[in-house]
Amino acid sequence: MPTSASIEGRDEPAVIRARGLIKTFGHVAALQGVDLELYGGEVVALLGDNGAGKSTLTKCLCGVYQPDAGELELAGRPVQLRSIRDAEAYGISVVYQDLALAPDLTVLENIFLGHELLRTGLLGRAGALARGEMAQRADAALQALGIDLPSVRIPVSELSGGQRQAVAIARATMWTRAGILMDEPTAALGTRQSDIVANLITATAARGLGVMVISHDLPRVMEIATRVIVLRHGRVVLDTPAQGLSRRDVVDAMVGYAEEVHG
Amino acid sequence: MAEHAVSSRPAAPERGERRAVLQRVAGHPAFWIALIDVALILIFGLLSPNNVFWTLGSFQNLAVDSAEALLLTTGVALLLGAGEFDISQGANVVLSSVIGGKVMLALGSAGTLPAILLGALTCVACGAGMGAVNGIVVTKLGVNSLVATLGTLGIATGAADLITNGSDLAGFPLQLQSAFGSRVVLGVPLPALVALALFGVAWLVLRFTRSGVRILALGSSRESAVRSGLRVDRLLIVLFLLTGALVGVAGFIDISRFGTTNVSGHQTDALASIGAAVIGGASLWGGRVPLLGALFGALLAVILQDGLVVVGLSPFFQLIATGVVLIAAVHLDQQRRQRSGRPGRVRARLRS
Amino acid sequence: MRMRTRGAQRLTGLAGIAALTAVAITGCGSSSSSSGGSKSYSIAAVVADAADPYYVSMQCGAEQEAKRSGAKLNWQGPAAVDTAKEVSALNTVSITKPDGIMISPFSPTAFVAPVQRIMKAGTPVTLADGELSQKVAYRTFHADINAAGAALAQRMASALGAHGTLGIVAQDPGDPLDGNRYAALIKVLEAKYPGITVLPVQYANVSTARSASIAAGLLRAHPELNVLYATNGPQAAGVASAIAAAKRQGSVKLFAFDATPQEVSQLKSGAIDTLVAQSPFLEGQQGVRALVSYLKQGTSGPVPAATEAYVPTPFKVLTKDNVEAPASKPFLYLSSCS
Ligand SMILES: Nc1ncnc2c1ncn2[C@@H]1O[C@H](COP(=O)(O)OP(=O)(O)OP(=O)(O)O)[C@@H](O)[C@H]1O
Ligand SMILES: [Mg+2]
Repeated sequence: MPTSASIEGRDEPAVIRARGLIKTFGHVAALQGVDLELYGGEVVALLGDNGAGKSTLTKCLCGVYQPDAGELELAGRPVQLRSIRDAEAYGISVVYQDLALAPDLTVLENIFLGHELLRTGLLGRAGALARGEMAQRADAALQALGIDLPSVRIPVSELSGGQRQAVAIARATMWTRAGILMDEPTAALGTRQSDIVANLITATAARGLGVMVISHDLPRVMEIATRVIVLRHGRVVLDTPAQGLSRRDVVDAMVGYAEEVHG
Repeated sequence: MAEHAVSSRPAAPERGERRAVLQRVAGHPAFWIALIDVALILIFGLLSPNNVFWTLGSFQNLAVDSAEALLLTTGVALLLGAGEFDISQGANVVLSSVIGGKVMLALGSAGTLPAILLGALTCVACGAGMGAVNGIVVTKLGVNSLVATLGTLGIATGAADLITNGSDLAGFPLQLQSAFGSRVVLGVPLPALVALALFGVAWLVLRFTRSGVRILALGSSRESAVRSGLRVDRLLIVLFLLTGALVGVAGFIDISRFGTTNVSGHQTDALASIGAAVIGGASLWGGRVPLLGALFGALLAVILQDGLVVVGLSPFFQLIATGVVLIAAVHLDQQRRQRSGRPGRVRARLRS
Repeated sequence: MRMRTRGAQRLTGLAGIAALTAVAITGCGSSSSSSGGSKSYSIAAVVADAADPYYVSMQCGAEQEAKRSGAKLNWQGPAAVDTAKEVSALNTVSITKPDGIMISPFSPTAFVAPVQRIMKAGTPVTLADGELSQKVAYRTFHADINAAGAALAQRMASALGAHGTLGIVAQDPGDPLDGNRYAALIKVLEAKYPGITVLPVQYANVSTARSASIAAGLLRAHPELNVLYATNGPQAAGVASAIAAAKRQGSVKLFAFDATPQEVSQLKSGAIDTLVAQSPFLEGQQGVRALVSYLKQGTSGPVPAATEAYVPTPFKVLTKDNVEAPASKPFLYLSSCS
């Protein structure tokens, strides 16, 4: 039985609350009744073996997939998400491993894509961009997250992998009010770059956003996580505060050893 | 860590700044194509009898010959920026000039000016309509734009042939040529002025507006455009429609310059305009279109075409020369991109 | 440092392109300069399709005449028919202020205004082949197509013994130039040779393949068919292949318009029975000759336009018997002058 670790004494409703999510692909039951909560300010590590259902779960939470059954509440309101845009409207955004940045656009243009600031007056009505103001706000946001870039006016294609991931996260934090879901944000990165991203995740949560991170890099993700959820065969088999949790406990849960012992 | 954040870039010394500006100018694809244009004008001028290639009349001739090419190149450059193609442009020029021409002829009795104006509007509307069809086929039917516009190329050509029975429309009011097609304003042929003005608008939009950024986002990474919540289909349809309208303007220029439609012509227009945009530095994979480069690329073909005539060389050389320049320009650009090693440069700057 | 090397590289590339172009231009430009006699006139010619043997023959005639009268000829025209490109070429050529211009207009209307402008400025313009919607040129030279049609009808009647069935493979229904190539033929046949039945005209749009399938269909549908007429070279090639495929070479005669190199070799081999040909060679020759003789008068000021619609140039009915004769030579379309 999964350990319920819903934190007592929260005033705010959970950013995300899922109850009994089920998702099957043909005869594959990817999710078999998943319950979970994500609160503002916490970093939840979503762990599990390959094929455990982590990505499927994330996609159900951000509108890419519609679950076959189960309920989803965002900020206390029951919702049905039909697309990523729906999820974004509720303040949930996603950072992908494959980035989703436009390499030929500048950092600035990427951060503001779909949220461009226009100039006032007639020029603004004609769609003229307020590049100066955009640059100020982007600089401020990057600075607040501790991201150091040579300039926000260079194309993303000129950035390193870590810098790109940082821009993607900065972009998500800028336009997200509630929660960010990250599917393996460091899978393609080296140690130093992964450290930078890990720091960013902590900084993001510190701003009051709920962050859920999928990662296979146990040591690093457990360092920054405040809570750990382990999926196995589409079920939550562990949901517990990260404090005092050993890597061994997590691995046991992932491979099913815990289940065998207890069940 | 939020504390150690603030980037501490030293203020660049002024000389470095000036060098950076130079570097940016020299690095801009438009610069090199413009240089080739100038070099060709010099060479043709020197070789032409009595240097007539350098006379006002010759430049006016270049300008008016460039008008249609510039419009088509601008349109296709915007589409390339969004990662799409349009090879139906030439057929669209023909169809819109035929339909606009029919309207003009039908209204002939209603007075010359209304006939001409409505004919012009019809040309533009028809071009825009064909563009919208292209956009809808690409987005709603999910057909790759190369294939979609190959299809509409056939449809438009066939429709124009059906309407005209394969022979050109003529008998347009004489004022069509005198008031527009061969009119010169302040020393510049009116069709060229119109084309240049529309090019200017496109340049401003691409460079300074939200729509410009979004067009390039579509071409740079369709995925990111979708994930950023852009209404990709609507954007693309509008873009195809507007670039189609540019083609319609070219169709009107065509009948107003020559006083006749040109149903058997324009067969290589679309390829020529894609070539011009690419010579100007546009990426075939989208996201990158220096419009100024496209302007000089379009001029290049016209300079070669007129210049070879003026120096008395066979017209076949123009095709060969344009082909050589196209390949050379793309090759040089590729090399520049490889050698500049952009990520490395940035990393070096980061380290310092 | 890097920037300099990069710039240098770009420069080399640029220099390369410029040099290539320059070599191409200077290397080939020298051929057209041939001076002769006292006053050498410069004459520019703009044709509809510089790659078509028809216009190549015209060029040969024009070159020969230019050489004879010591004029310099600048030959221009798009590499495929395109009114816009042809008018552009005319406008560009007029910038170089040649002493005279000969054009072979693809459109009857698009050239009216530029020709008027050029003539007003004192430069004579002659038309070789084709006609404009208004009489604005100094002289116009082309064959009398109606007369050619009548001659063709006569030859057909004598070859068939005034009895038979004719199938026509034409270009397309809207093309007036193509229409002339069969309208007179039909008219004369109907008036003078009622024994020859003319089937409805079919259209193949200059496509060899389409002509072949049309002709095959006609042969199957009309076993009595004993003569086919194709209005141009590519169509004749298609019809000839259909006749051969149906093994009807003996019983079906092929007539065709034009005398392209392909058609002439088929005439010699017997695949084609009769050709009727204009003479682009003579058109070009006369176009240039008229220009030079006007220039020799030394008149200045606006050039007067001709009052007659055109000056007819000869046409010729070619058969196996006369094709080799020297008199036929100016009527064979050439792929090069030598
Ligand atoms: N679109 C799909 N169609 C069919 N089966 C799918 C699809 N997506 C996921 N699955 C299946 O659902 C199960 C869970 O997949 P999911 O991608 O969620 O796993 P994961 O935990 O993200 O694994 P990994 O760590 O390898 O990324 C797997 O058995 C997978 O094969
Ligand atoms: Mg996964």
